[in-house]
Amino acid sequence: MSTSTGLSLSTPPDESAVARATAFGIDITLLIENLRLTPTERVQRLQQMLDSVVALQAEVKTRRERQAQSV
Amino acid sequence: MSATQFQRLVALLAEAEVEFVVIGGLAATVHGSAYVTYDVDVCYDRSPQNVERLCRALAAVHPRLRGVPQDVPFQFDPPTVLSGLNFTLDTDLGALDLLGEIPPLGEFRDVAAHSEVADLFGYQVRVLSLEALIQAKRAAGRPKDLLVIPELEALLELRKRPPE
Repeated sequence: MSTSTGLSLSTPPDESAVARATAFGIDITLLIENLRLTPTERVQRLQQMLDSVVALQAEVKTRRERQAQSV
Repeated sequence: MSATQFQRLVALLAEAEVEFVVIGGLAATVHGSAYVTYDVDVCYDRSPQNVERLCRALAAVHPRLRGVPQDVPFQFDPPTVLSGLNFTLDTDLGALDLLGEIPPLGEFRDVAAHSEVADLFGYQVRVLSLEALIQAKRAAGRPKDLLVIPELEALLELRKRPPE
């Protein structure tokens, strides 16, 4: 389980998986940042993101219901 | 809908000494993926003793079938688990998918052989290796699985690069 890297964004070889992922639209900086975290920290970060997404979905739903009632 | 509680679900299984391997999106996160997953996927050992531990552990969080009307009778107990294979559950701690096998890897023993041990919240937890995760995603072949392969392959390459 990798937790530390000496990674940089120096130009990867054209045929590298990193180059293919970049062309696919993947933000490699996020991956490098994640690889500097421990597995627990990675899951904690996921939890924070998921909590935010769920809270946002609930807020949107509440607003839509309010709008529907006011029409 | 409430967010799945990753730490509490992992702790629940680990403390009950359930034999399992973290797979799917959560395994990808453990390996460094930036995709957001909504559930916990695990491959579980189907030995009667382990299924007993699994059922006892999950009883506290009221497992029920996800996406099935509440009035459909369902009891999560050893006979039910042993007569089925894969279960997509909702629990009080969020969504939990239990898989008895993963193509093309096989059953728990085969999946465990393709796993690494990670320290998650202080528990030593088996997690499907990045190489095997890519293999499983490719075998699944669904658009949602294929979509994450470029990122997983990039992670594999980044991990293998020597420090600069």
